[in-house]
Amino acid sequence: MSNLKETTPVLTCENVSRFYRKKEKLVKDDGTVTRTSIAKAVNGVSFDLAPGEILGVIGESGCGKSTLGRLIVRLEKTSGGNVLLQGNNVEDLIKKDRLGFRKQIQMVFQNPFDTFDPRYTVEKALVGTLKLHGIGSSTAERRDMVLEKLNASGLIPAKDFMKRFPHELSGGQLQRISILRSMLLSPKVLVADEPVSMLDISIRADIINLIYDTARAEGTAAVFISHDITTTRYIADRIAVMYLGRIVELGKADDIALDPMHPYTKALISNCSSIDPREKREIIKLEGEPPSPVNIPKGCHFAPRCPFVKPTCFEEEKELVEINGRLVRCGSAIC
Amino acid sequence: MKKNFEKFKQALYGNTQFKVGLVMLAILLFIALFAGVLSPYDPYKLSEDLLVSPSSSHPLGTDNLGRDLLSMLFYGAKVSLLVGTISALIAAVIGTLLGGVAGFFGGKVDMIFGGFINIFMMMPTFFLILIVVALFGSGMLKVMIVIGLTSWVGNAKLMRAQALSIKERTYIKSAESIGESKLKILFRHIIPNGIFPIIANTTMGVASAILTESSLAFLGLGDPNIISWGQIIQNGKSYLLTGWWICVFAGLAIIYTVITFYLLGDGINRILSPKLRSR
Ligand SMILES: Nc1ncnc2c1ncn2[C@@H]1O[C@H](COP(=O)(O)OP(=O)(O)O)[C@@H](O)[C@H]1O
Ligand SMILES: [Mg+2]
Repeated sequence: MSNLKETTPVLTCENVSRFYRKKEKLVKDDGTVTRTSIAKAVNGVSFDLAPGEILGVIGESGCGKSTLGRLIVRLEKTSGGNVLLQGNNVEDLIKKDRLGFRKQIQMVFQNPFDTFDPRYTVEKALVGTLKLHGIGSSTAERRDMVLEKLNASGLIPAKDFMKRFPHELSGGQLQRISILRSMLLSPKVLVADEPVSMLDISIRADIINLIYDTARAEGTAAVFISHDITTTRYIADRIAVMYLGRIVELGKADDIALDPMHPYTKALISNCSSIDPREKREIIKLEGEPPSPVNIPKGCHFAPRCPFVKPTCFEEEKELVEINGRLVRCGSAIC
Repeated sequence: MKKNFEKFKQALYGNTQFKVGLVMLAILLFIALFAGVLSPYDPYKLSEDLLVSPSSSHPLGTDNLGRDLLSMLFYGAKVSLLVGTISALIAAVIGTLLGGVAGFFGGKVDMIFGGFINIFMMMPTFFLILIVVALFGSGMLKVMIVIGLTSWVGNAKLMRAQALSIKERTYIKSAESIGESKLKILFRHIIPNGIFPIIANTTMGVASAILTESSLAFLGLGDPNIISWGQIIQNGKSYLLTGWWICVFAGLAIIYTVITFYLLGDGINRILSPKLRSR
C-alpha cells in the first residue's frame, strides 16, 4: 500500500464484524432444548479503499463475502467496528441523509434475475431511480438519459428494452441493467457481489469488462467479490483473501496470485490452473469441508485444514503483519 | 408479473371451479343491478294476498304481509352483495396493512402487531359483532364496518407471511440499496407482490360476510329499513308450516351466493398455490 497516494480512503472498514445468532433445536432425552449459537460471519475485517481503486475479495463460499458486502452498503448494521465513507461513519451518514448516502455507494447483486421488481419495466426501474435521486428535471429528460445509457451499454434497440419486464430479459442483460442503474447515480463506491456467478460463461467476460470500464471511466472505487481468483486478478488492483470471516492475506493482485504466502491462499491458487499454464505447480489439496463459522475453535481458523500446520497453530491466532508490502496473517516466510 | 398475470388468467380460465363461480357471479350481479326492472312487484308494497304459495302471479309466493317474495329476493341480492363486498374490502385493507407492517418491519414491531393479530384471532368475533351492534345500532353502514373490523385476521396472517418471505428477495435489498424508503418498499414492492392470496381470501371473505349479515338479520339485529335475505328468513320462520317457501327460497339465495364466492376464492387459491410460486 505504500506506493498508493496518500489520499483519504474513500472507504474504510475498521475491525468490522457481523455475528448472527442462530437458534438450534436440540432433541435430547429430556425434551427439546434450544441453544443459541453465534455464527461469526464477518470477524474483525479492516481495510482501506483508495478512490478509484478496485479491491477484489475472494474466498470459499460461506466465508462471509456477501455479508461483508451488505455491511459496506449498509444493508445490515455491523455487530462491531465501523464502516467509514470518506472518513464518516455510515451510521451517521444514513441517519442524516439516507438518499445522499445511498447515492454514494451502490451494489450489484449476485442474482440478476431477482434484482428487479418483477412488476416493473426497465423504464420504470431506471427512470424511477433517477427521479428518486432528483437527477434530471423532467420525465422526458430522465427517459433520454436512460435511453442513452442503454444504447451505450449495447442494449439496442434501447426503446425496446425500456418496455421489457425482468422475465423478458436474459441474465446478462439484467446484470448490465443492474450495473447501469447503479452507475446512473455516479457512486463513489460500487460493491459487486459475485456479479457473474449466475451467468453463462460466454457472457461473463463482457459483464466483468463493463464493471471495469465504467468504474475506471467514472473513477468509481469498487469492491469486487468473487470466488474465482483468475477474474479477480484481472479486474482488481489489490486482493483480500477471506477465510471464515477474516482476512488472511491482503496485497497487490499480482503478488497474491503469483506469490501467495498464506497457506490458504496457496491452496486456493494451486487449485486454479489458468493463472499460468506453463508453470508446473503442486496442487495443495484441502482436507475436509470448509468449516462453519459457528463455534470456531481457538487458534488459527485454518489450522484444522492447513497442510503446514504446527501444534502452536491451535494455541493462538496470528495477527495480520506487513511483509513486503502486503498483509498476511501467517506465511511460510514467518511460519 | 405480467407473465405471471397472463399465466394466472389462463389458469383461471382453465379452472372449472372459477369458471362456474364466474358465471354464477354474473347472474347475481345482473339481478342485483337490475333488481328494479326484473322485479314483478314493488318489494316494499303490502297487499291483500297474504302467504300465497308459489303460483304464476307470484312465482315464489308472498310473505305474511303480502309482499312478493321474488321481488324481495332480487332487492335482497343488492344488499347482500353490497354488505359482503364492502365488509370484505375493509377487512382486506386492514389485514394487508397490519400484516404487511408486522412481517416487513419484523423485530419489535412484529412483536406488537403480530401479538395484536394473535390476540384478535382468539376473539369470539360474532359475539363481538353482536355486542357492538346491540350497543351502537344496526344501520347497514354500521353492520358493514363492524363485520369488516372483525374479520381481517386471516388476511393479516397471510400478508405477514408474504412480507416475511418477500423481504428476503434480492429486489427488496436492491430497492433499499438504491435508496427507497421503507414505506415505499412496503407499498410499492412488498404489498403488490404479495397480494394474490389476500385477493383469494377476500373473495371468500365476501361469502362469510354475507353469512354474518344474514345471521345478524336473522337475530333481528339487521337494518330494519332494508330488505335483506337474513331478515326475510327471520320474518318467515314463524310461518315455516303455513309458508315454507319464504325461508326455503331466501335460504337458497344465501347458499347460492356463498357458493359463488367460495368457488371464485377457492379457484384463485388453487391456481396460486403450486404453479405460480415458481416464477
Ligand atoms: N442472515 C443471516 N442469518 C444467519 N446466518 C447468516 C446470514 N447471512 C449469512 N449467514 C451465515 O454467514 C456465513 C457467511 O455467509 P455469506 O456472507 O453469505 O458467505 P459468502 O458470500 O462468502 O458465501 C454463512 O455461514 C452463513 O450461513
Ligand atoms: Mg455470497
